[in-house]
Amino acid sequence: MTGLPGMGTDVLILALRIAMVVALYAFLLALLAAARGDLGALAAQRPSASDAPASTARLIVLAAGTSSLRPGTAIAVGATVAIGRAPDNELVVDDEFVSAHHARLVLHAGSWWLSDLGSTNGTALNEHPLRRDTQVRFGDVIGVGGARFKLAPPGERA
Amino acid sequence: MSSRGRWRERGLLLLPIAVLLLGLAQLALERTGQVQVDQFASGLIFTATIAAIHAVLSWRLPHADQQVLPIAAMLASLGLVIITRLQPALALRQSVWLVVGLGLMGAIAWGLPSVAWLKRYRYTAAALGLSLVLATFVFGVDPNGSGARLWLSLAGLYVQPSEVLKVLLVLFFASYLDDYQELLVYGGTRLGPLRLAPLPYLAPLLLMVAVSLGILTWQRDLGAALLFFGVFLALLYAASGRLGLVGLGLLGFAAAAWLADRLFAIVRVRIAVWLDPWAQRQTAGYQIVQALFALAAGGVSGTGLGYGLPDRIPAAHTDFAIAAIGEELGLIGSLAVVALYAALVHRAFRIALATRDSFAALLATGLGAVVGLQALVILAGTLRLIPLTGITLPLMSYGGSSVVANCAIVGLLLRVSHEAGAVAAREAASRRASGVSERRRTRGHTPATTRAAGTTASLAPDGSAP
Amino acid sequence: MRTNIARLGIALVGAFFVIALALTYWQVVAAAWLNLDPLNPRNIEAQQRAARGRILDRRGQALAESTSDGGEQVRAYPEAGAAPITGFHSQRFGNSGLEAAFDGALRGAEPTNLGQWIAQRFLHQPPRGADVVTTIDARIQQAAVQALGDQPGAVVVLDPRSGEVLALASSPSFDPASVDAQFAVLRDAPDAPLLNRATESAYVSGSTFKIVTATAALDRGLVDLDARFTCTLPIDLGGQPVDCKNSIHVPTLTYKQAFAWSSNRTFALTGLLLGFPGPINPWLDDHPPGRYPWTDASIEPSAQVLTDYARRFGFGAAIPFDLPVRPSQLKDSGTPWSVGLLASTAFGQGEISVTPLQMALVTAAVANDGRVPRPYLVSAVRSPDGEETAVHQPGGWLAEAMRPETAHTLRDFMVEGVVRGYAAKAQIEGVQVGGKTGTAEVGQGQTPHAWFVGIAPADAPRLAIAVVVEHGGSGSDVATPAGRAVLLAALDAYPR
Repeated sequence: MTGLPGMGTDVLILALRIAMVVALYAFLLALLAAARGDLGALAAQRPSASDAPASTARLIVLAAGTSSLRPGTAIAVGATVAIGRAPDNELVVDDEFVSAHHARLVLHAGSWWLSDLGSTNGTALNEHPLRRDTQVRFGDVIGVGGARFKLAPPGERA
Repeated sequence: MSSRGRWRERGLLLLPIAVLLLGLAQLALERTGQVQVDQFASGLIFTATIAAIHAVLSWRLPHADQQVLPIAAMLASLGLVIITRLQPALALRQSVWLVVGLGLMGAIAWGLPSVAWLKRYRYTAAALGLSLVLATFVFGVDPNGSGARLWLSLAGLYVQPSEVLKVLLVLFFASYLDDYQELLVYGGTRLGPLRLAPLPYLAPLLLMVAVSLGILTWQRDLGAALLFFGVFLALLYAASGRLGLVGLGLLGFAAAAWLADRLFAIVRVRIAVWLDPWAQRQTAGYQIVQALFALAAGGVSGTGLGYGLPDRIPAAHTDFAIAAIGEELGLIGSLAVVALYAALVHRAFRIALATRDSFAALLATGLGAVVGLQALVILAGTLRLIPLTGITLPLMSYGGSSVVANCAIVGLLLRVSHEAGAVAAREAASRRASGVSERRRTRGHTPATTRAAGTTASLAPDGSAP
Repeated sequence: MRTNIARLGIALVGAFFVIALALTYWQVVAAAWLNLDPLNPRNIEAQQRAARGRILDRRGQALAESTSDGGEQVRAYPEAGAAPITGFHSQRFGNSGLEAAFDGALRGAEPTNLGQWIAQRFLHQPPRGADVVTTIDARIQQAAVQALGDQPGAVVVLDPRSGEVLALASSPSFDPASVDAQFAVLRDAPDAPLLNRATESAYVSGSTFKIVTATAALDRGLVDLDARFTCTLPIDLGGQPVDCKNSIHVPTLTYKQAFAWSSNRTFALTGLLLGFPGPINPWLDDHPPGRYPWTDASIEPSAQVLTDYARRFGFGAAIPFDLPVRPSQLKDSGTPWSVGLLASTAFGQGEISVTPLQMALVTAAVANDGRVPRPYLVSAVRSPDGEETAVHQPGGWLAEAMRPETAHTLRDFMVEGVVRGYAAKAQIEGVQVGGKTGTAEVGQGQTPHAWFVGIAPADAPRLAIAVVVEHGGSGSDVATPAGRAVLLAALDAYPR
């Protein structure tokens, strides 16, 4: 630095320097304060299953058995899902061990319920035979014949 | 996040402007003992452009996150200050590039049909990026004499295609991974307890990764190669959650690094310098040694803007901006810069978590990762945590393509944020519209059951009902 | 997927935290040793910026100072003759002399109070060095340099009462301002201009050493001051031929006259007789009363006595001083004492190697009632805001070499040397001067070194001087006039 400034200017420069640092840290603190405020707003906005207009859940194919379904595909389902081999089901599973109308998944009062419709080989829930209508939660695995489906929230990845 | 005027953003934006003007005033006083208007040219251009982009955002993207632009502006402002300190002639050019970048940001805010629209052009985007990088094979120039011909010269301006490629590749990765997300998580053949990745479906993705890494490595642009691979792994993890895949990728990287050490002299040199820069302090290690001297000289409070010797560091205004900041603004300055980058990454990830659209989420994640990883790689290299690579500090370092690319990233983030915010605002409005009865229900109850209840047939919950 | 994204985000932010830790390490922890690294360009620049303190003579005249030449510091040496004292200051070649010994103070590295600390750290006031105040009188120094002229040699002038060094000259010398350009030339020059001959060169002392021998004999009461003896015949002492050439024209001598005329045989015998009971006068005669005592007994006791007295004067040890001083030796450490060696040592030859500063101290002890003063060059360090810190604490002697009566006797001897002896060329009108010459043989075919040591005024000495002219020849013809010239200037410049 050639020609160092005089004392008075030095003090002014020091003042500017302090002001710059103050502005920088005021900024960081303001960010921090804003982030805290956002946290509450964000939590309140978390989408829950009920907010989804059209699709209330997804069934994800884990295993296809002998059906023509592809593992990994996700099937959006509405409030009622009829599962079976017949083509009038919402979820058609053409596995050889699946009855024409095998099971039904229903959204009732905010929870999903699985019922067996009198199938030949029975319906499984998390690999246990389904004996009566049981509530199904996200993450549970529904089994019909050789096929396995996982219930997952809508628009989200499990 | 109020959608009634972006007042928070407005308030926050005052501070980067203040920092820039205060910094320029300091430098002006030191150089000439007085303050003259022509020394503030870059400051005035910056202020005007920031005001303009804020206006555009208020009009077109009212729901967008209000902190992202201020953070980016603060980084750019600090960058302008340090560039004015190190190479005053380049400061004006940097501010012009910022105008271009902010203009692109405005175009994204205004002209982009939707974020989803981007998904359709992923192959085009990837092809464009790769062809630009390939062009450097033939037309590449090396204006800085750093040994690698990574630039294209367009009418006297230098463009670095790898910066463009990074944005386009994030787009490509995000959209591809979005489509095949379930496959990644659940698919693939089982091999006993392990589950392999469903390779056939991922082939285009892997091909793209291999090609881009190959080109970059061939070009000796190892910093960019490292960055791209890191972003790819990050997005892979975000989409699939499978740490195993990430681990596999890291193993592959380790193997590639070992191979690179064998094949490329420059890699050997960089690693040797990383391990012991003092042994080559006058030759290959000169840069890092001077950078460390600069950081040490700064101490906690710094030497004061203009009073240190950061100009002893070669390429201080590009790769080693943090050393210059560390010397002249001290630890308090350099920690603030680190905090700013962390804040930017944090905002990007917040935006990703706030959006419903999975593609937008992955896009925001990828963009946040690319900025964050770029900053991390150069910071870690300067601090001897990893070997040095030649990439710039986003928004702070001098470099037109880098500035424009990072402004585009900010613009895309704002776009994603706005769309998510718009959806949320719509839903909140519709919730309010559907009546007072909603309010009587406590939180957690789902109003949609009123619709669902009508469709259920005779289902009598037996004793096992909750 | 949300959890994955959240985890990724936390990992990235965590990585920044690691960066923050690394920054703290490099900027605070490692800074301690990085900032001291000599290759750090900031240290070199800081040296440039710091206003280096001056080196001043006792009256405030600058011997070395820094002037600003458009932002850069240039070190100037207004008194080029003071080069052996100031040394040089060079960015590339380092420092020497007082520039080196007091480098820290001259650089003004440490701020001493909060105000200075703020000014340096935040207002970027360059640190100002402290001034080093020496005891040198520039006028006497000039006289000493002039007296030597082109002849290689050295001059030391000090105040025997306190030990303050008033002049320290070495020839040939150099221009400290030219060191940056000429270092290699200066370093390799055959006449060694960078060498401080006053403190770092040791010479054969010649007859000036007889003061030490005489001290030993007188202090032990071995000499009858009134008894006369004859000294005309040469003798062989242990293979060493010793004659009376100097004093042959005075057929009978008192011990005082033997001293004034630098009678070699007298002092050779004195040295050999130091360990035997006195008085020694009969043995000094051309015809001794019998066989010399050392023919049947060992001379070790005599050697011991001489060594002991030499040690009191400072021989054999490094003399504490602001500049490095080469120790003076009575003889080479490997050589055993023999009759011949002891004899020749006693009259000032043998293997004696002595620095001019050492001889000045010997002389000063005679002037100071037998107490050897502690020599010093720097009296105080004066900080930029005027605060003076005394460097030298007054008082304290290196040793008591002899009893005050002995010193008085020797003073008379030295006055005799000037009035009626070989040191006649040191006479100064109106002032009583005491002195001793020496012509130190250095081997076949080589011109001897010329020595002169003196005190003035002899009745109340405030000056002690030692002069040596390398290969100058006769002490009384070459060194003594030089010494006189310096004493003249010194008596004028140093009136109290």
